Amino acid sequence: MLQYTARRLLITVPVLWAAFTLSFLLIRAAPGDPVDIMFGPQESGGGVEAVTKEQKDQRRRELGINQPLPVQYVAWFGRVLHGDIGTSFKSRRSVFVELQQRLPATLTLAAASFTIKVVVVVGLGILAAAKVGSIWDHLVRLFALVLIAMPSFWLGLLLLWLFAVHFQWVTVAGPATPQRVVLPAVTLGLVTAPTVMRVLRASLLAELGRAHVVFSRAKGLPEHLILWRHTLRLAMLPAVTLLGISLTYLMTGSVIIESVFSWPGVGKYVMDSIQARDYPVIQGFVLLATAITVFGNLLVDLAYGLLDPRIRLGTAGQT
Amino acid sequence: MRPGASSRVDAGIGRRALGRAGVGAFGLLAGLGPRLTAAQAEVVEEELRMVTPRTFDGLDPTHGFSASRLRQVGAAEGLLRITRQGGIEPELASSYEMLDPTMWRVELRPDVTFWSGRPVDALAVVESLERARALVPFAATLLAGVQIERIDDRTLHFWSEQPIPSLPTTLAGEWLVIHNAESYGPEVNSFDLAAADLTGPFRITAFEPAVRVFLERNPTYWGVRPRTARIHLDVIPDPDARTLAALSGEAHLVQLVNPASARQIERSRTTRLVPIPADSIVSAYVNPERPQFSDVRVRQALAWAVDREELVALAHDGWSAPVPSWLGNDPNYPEARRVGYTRQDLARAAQLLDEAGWRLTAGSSVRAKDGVPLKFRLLWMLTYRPLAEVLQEQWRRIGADVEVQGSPDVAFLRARRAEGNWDAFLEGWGTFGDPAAVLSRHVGATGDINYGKLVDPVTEELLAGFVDLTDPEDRRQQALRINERHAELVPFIPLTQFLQLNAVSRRLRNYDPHFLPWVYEVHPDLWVSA
Repeated sequence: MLQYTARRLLITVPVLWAAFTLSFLLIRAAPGDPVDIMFGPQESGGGVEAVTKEQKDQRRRELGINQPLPVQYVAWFGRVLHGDIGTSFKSRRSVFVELQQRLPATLTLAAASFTIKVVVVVGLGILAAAKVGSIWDHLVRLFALVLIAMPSFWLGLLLLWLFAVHFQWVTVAGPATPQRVVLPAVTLGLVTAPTVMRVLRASLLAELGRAHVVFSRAKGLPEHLILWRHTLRLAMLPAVTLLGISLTYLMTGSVIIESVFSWPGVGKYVMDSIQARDYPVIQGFVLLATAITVFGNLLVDLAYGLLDPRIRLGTAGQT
Repeated sequence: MRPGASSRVDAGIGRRALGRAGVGAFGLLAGLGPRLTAAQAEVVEEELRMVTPRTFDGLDPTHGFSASRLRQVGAAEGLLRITRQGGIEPELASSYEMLDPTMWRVELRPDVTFWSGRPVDALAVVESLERARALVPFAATLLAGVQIERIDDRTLHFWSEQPIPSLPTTLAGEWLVIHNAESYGPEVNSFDLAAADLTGPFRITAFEPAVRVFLERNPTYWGVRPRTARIHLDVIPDPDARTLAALSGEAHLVQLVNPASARQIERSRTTRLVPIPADSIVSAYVNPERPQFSDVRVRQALAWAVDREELVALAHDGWSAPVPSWLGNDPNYPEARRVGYTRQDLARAAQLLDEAGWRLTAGSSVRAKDGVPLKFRLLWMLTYRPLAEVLQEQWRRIGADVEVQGSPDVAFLRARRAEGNWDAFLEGWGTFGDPAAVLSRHVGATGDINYGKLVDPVTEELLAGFVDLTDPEDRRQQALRINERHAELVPFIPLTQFLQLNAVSRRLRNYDPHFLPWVYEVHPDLWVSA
């Protein structure tokens, strides 16, 4: 397993390079010039004074985006190799510092929402499968359907209205405290849980109908032992895959939740940077997101081996 | 003691302390000063809590849009400032006067200091403005050709080889914040709180970029002592969440709430809604290089076909105002509200199109000329989609086939414009400022906002006439003449005025919104009743 892990980590390097290069090219292919956006009219209104072409060109020179693409690429790649992922066009600060400041809030939210999600998925998934056809099963499926149909921002606003306006237990804005993480984590956990929950239910039902379960029942094993010891681990495999993928989403894609709950994470920051065509931030974020994705997938693969000992990672034909 | 006078308790001043102030002082206050009203007798809450969609980019007024945002929260000032009526008044300056059309003298207030204690003298002002000129392109534009000379500690001369009649407007511009250039250093220095050195009723004590800002009363402020001791500014990006922050009572002043949720605030017992007509208007820019729009009658027809009241009702949820002519929303030009397209006139629009050769043919609802249908694409950006869709329907009524396309991302529209690949689009601009500069940008032959590059000799002549006009009233009249000419030529069609909706606690006192709310919001007399 160690060898496998080392090999997977090694593969990360070309993956990072490919993602990095693609992001470099794609963001520059997208319409919009960072300097034009910087000096254009603002959403809040108000007239801004004219900026001459010379002033804009000067700014482009300062940012290094007046050079031909290959020159920009080489310069940028050289900096990355030296551990410098760039300076934000907008804030003029190191992208590393900016991401570093926002990452703890994002990690906190991701960890909390992932925990809630796992609890909801495992708890309700098992309940629905164990009580298949019962009122509990119907209720769980209905609950999943409602959550799937519910936009995350709407659920978030509903929770905010209830707990910030009506009960006044939390504040709408404020620092990233444990108290304030509850609502965004619940929202994010709930809206991303139903799909995995339904997969787990279906997988458990399939597993419960297999011969070894029939044999266990015939042997007189209690139902809870059959469920927890002999079927759940196997049934978890597809759910774990989805959970692994969603881990990446939770860490990088919670823009709407961060906006609604004023959570000072990476999502909103990157969204603003995309709109401002802040190339270094976007590239730095792609690097981070790629690393998280690769790492998340590695964790999923390692979890396979733990859940099903028949799977030997790194053995040809078995991964 | 008279009721209503003795119970006044300001932040940091207890009843006992007031009692010790002495009968003589109180007698002077009661007898000579204005009588204290019931409102003034209220207890002042220590902290004013504000919510905004975005804070400043940094603590350096030369960084991004920090200058105006710092001014907005009372943490920065200029030499002059813009009044609520659109006039100019001294801020850090005590007076200003034109010596001749090319030279102005500005006197500074005595005993004004930065937060650090350094005097705001002529040298500090010169250093500050030169630093802004070097680092902020907008400031460089404003000060182009203007020389700044220190005469003595409190006197400055601003001069140029060309007449500079609008210098006061320039000095009141949001980019020319007076700051301690020595403390900030030659480069943009935005995140070092120790280096931040400004003036104003409040000073920043903590700053978390794009998250929150803490300010406290500036003890060395030159003006009246701010009644609020502290300001806490939080960023909430989502407009609906901002509404909830207002309804929950956790903020006293919430900027830019969602118009769709305005009714909720109106029903609230603790919060009220304050619509602020801003100086910006949204216009439909048409491309005169396209055959549909090369004829002025088509542009006029489109302008007459717009029902601005309907735009306000349907596209802005009622929270906006119709703008009949280009300068129609600027407080400096009240006459412009009666000029231009003051009502919808479909018959006139149809007549103009008929005269221009764009006629309805049997069996078709789209007008055509020489077999070419009156068809074009209207691009939108930011939040203008509803406007575009209502316009699409309104122009359909006169036989125009309009396709609506857009994206909230501004880059989409700008890229199409840069390629010259556009028929019409929606964009918002302000009109406040030096009329010669502002109007030239929009309708001058080389104006950067003259997107359609429509060159009109009459307009050019009127713009050139500004050079000889130094009297503000003469310049204003000249701007009105250009506005009338604009209404005839319609290089772009003015539609509606921006309206900023703020949710304000009913306990917030002296909230008197400015038409430039992103520059002026907090003032020393703004306070919350406890």
